[in-house]
Amino acid sequence: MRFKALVAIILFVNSPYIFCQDDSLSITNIPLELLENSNSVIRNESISIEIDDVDKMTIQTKRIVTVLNNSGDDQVSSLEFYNNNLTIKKQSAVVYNALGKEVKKYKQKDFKDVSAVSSNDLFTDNRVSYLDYTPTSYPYTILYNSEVVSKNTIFIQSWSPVDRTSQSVQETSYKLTNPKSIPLRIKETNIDSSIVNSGDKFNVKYSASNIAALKGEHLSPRIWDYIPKVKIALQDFALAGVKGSASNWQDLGQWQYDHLLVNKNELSPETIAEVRDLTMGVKEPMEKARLIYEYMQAKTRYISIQLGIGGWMPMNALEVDNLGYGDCKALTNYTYSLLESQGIKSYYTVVYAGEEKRDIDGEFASMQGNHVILTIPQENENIYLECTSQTAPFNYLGDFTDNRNVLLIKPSGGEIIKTKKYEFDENIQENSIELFLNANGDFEGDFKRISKGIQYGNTYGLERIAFKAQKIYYRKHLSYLKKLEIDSLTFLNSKKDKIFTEKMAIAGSNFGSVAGKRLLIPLSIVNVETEETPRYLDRNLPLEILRGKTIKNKTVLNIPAEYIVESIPENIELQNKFGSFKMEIKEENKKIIVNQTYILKDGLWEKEAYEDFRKFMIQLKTFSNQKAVIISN
Amino acid sequence: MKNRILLILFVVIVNTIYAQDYKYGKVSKEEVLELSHPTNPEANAAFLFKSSNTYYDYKKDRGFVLTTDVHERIKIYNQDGFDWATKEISLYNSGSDKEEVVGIRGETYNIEEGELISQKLSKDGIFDVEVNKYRSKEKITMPALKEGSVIEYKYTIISPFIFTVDKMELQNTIPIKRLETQIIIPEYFIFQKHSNPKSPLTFKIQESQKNTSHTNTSIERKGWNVISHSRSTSKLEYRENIYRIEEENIPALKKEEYVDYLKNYAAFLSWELLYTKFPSGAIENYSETWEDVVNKIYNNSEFGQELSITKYFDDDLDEVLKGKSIPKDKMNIIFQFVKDKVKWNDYVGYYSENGVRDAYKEGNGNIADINLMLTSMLKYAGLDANPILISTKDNGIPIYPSRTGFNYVVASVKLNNKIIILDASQKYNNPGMLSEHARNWMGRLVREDGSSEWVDLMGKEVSEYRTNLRVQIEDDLTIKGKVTNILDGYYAKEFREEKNNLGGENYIQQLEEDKGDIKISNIETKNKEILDQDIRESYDFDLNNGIEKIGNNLYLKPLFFLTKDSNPFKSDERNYPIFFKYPSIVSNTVHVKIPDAYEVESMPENQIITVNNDGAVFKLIVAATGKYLKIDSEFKINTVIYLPEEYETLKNFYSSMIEKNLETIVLKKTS
Repeated sequence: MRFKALVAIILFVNSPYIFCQDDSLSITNIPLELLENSNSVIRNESISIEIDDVDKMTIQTKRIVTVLNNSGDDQVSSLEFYNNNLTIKKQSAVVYNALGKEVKKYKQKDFKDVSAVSSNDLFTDNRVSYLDYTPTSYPYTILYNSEVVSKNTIFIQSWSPVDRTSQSVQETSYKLTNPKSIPLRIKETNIDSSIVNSGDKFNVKYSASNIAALKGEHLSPRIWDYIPKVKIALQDFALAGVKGSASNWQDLGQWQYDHLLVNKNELSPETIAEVRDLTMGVKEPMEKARLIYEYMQAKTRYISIQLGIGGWMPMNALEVDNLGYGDCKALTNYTYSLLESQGIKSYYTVVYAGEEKRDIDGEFASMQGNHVILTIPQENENIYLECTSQTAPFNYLGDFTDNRNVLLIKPSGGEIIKTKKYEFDENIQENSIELFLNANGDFEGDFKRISKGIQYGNTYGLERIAFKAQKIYYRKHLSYLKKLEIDSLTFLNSKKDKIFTEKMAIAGSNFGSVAGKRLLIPLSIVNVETEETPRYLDRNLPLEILRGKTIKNKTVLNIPAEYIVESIPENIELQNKFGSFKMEIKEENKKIIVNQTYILKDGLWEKEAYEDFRKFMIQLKTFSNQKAVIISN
Repeated sequence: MKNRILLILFVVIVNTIYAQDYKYGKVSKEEVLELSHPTNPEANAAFLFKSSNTYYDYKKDRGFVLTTDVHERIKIYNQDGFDWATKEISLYNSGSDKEEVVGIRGETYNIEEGELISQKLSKDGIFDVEVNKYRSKEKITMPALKEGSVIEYKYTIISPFIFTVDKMELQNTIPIKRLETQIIIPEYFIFQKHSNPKSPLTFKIQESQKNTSHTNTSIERKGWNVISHSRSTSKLEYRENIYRIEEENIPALKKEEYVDYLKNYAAFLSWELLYTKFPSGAIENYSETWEDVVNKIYNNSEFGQELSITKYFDDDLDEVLKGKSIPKDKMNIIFQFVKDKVKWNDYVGYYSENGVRDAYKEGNGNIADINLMLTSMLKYAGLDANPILISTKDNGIPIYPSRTGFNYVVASVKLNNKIIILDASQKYNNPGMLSEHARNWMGRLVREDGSSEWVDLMGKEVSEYRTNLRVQIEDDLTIKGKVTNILDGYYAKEFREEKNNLGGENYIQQLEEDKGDIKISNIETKNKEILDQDIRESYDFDLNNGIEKIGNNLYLKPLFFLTKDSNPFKSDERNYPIFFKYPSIVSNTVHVKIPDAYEVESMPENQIITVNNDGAVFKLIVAATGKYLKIDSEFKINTVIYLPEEYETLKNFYSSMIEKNLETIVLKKTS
């Protein structure tokens, strides 16, 4: 045995090629600066797209990734989605160990093939073929090769030399060849001189090398806003067999309207009659629209089914009417059809949804977005409808689709507009709490909270959960209050004004913290919710606050008869470019009255501002954590 | 109990008055009009009727198939119950045979303009999704759903797997108004039924018998070219046993925090095949005693054989074991060897998937590949090693001698009369440690001679997390200090799993989180990869808001940032036991140097709190000597499982402990 081991070592050292050792893949060839902050390194990536025809393109991907630790396992991207319009021609992978010695080979049949149905989808005909590799040690390297043929030339993969955090890049390149010379549009964003562009009018070629890993940082712009990116689109394209031509949003919107949306609006005469009766006698058109929206909410539910071109085309309104469910496209088109039946004009609106705001690029027409809402055009402020929610008020977007560029698809073509922004003085939360304290630490009193704007969307769902869950929520929210009991809980959801009010009687014990004969009592029973601001040794990204807010807390504490106030903190007023914090504390007749106002403004500041903002948050926490001291006499 | 009987009586009476019709299609107006569940108003949906009928159907071309007719009627009270209008039927596919679902019908009932109207489920609402090689799902989504709708559907599952009868579900996360479930079993199949001992509900099972006969006519062709036909008629007659449960008003299974796995508490009836005896053949045993179970498992080539082959590793292992003679050293080095050599591919099972030989060569395998390989290496080294069969938390608990109750296997070694569990699937496992999903009650140690025994999986080893905090208060009331943490057992394992990959800055940020205006530096972590040593983590810090000056006094929390200030138990009541992960000690020792111009005005009194006969113990001891304060706080969990009856006591214990930790030390200025 010893002999065997020895032989292995000798062979290994002297003739690496027997083991298919590729020295260039050894991790020793990774520049040191690419190892910093990274979980994996793209050693070499080349994407090559050939436009065979208006409705056919071939995409070849070769990607060599070295994974440094288990957080990097998900960064290899050795997978392809496929469906009727997207066919995998080749797929293979080779795994190497840290020294570049070949460990394992995978052919296409070794890839796992499953339905791409996600937890949100009921059904999809998309499938995914992926490499299921269990790493035996780190680092390891995977060489991945694939060839995919797509009929959907409307989607040309864009290029970013780096597109995620914690991954560095040694070499990367992108090539698009276009032998039929179909006119192209190209848009570069954040492309600097370190990126080599050697393309021409009809062919695209970019490359880049040695890019250090990006770090994710709190309260910074979203990654898609600052990474280098090249977007490419063909002027003549096809989607699931439907051809088109467009070079701007006007035309692309027109094409979408003509081929994906038109003639989907038929409704049954019964439904039209029902909606007419419902809105009969209502003069104000937007009041009619509100009734129709609520009718739609009561009649439907959201279910995601993605089938064929249905992935981009809504289901017929008639079908939604009949089944009572649909995805965002179907429900939006259904609402559009209902409104139209009563002479109210609205537009199908494509958006990138999510709390992390993302714009449809107004300067570059291509298939974008991941969600659909409905816009009712108005002279002053447009009205927006989220048609997948059964509970949202009429004209409420919340943080899901607010303040971002979206695409309106009108019969006359596409148009980019911006959705409503919720300003800091609209996002209001007003808390008022009064407590009567007892010498043994027991307390009782009441609590009221009013929420508006974005805060409305964060709270109104409370009404719908079970009382047990509500109690647990308030026990977490008012965590200063021990053994909290809740009684006479009432909610007032004013959908029209989008104001949510919660009121309750509260009681509990162990108020404050005991310090001998003194009692330290907290003055911010409702926490002033600050942003999380970890300390960065070296902050790289600007500071961005996406949404502002205004928090007002009024706290009245009636101290026990046996105690007197020994000390209360001084008033505080802080003001800076990020907002302000004001805290007034006064004592009158055994009452301690505290008024706090905290304003946070939205905005974008240079990276140096982060440390100032962090200090502001710390001050806020420190001041709002101040206590009054009462002492038994 | 008395109340429960009364309730059942009451319910029976109420139901007779309404005289519900549970035939398919006989949904009543009253059912659609009902606004909330009569006894559980918080229910978003409820089964009005849930029935299943399972029977062995004799097909002349296939023999017996196992058929289950399902019929369910569900009331949707509000939007939050809409998910119940989508039904997923899971179907198994063995590769050569598969389950199928036929005869799906469904209807949604609503009231429109005072009239009860129904809408049929159409093909658009039925989807067939292939999940993986072995499993597919039939998904049904009901049309025209509104708040208040009643949906009703039925379907039939036909299974060729006649030796496996699915668990009968007797409880769900929504209430069931009426349950009818029945199984009819031919005399050839002898099953034993088992109910869930963890569920407090009991069900009456009605048993009866009937005779069944089938007449078969078959035409047989003989000869190379057709020479002759022969027609034969055979009659098959047999008795069948019927087991039936009818029950009204079954409460919903409630979601609670800190439950090991909710479904472990649902009422069910499971069916274990003991043996078959067909007229033409002898008795074939499936399982009966633990001995049978063990023998069957050992006889399976993917278990027994995988345990006995040693050729693929013997040379390598001889090298590894060279110079080792103490059994414990042998065990440790083999355990480490397997952990390094073979990585877990995330699949469970107690049968080897790719075979231990391939797993060894490829460097990865399922749980059985890894731990059977480990067992056979330990045996090879002359140790008293045996596999232990385990059921993971999401697989429930094996309540009777059964092969199907288990889905996981680990190795064990008996050293000095003590059984040491070994699971080589996790890099940071030490001998004796199991992953949380496998720490489920008891495992069955199985020996080659057919003997077997239960082994406790919860573990009695105490895991410790000790913190030492030194604090110095500066003149400007900022604090400088040093923290040393020493972790062993599961604390060390969790630390390694969470933090060994964490980069410098992220590590600092994680440490600084929730500690106020703090700056941490000089972090040192020892033994990150040396598993038989404690994790030792130390760092210095500067803290700005750790102390409050109000008037002439200083107020400080005795444990500074080391304590949590809210009770994890927030719910008023508890239905299921509370599980702590493992026995533990968390201890904090704080040394504070009192600033020169100050002296102690008041300090918290020393206190010891216990719960459940020292099941959990907390103590806080504060002592002042000269210019120094020493605070000792210790929290021990000795008992890891608490019954729902003990919930209130446990919750109060936590509450008192948190209060005590938050009491304040007051320092006053010396005049």
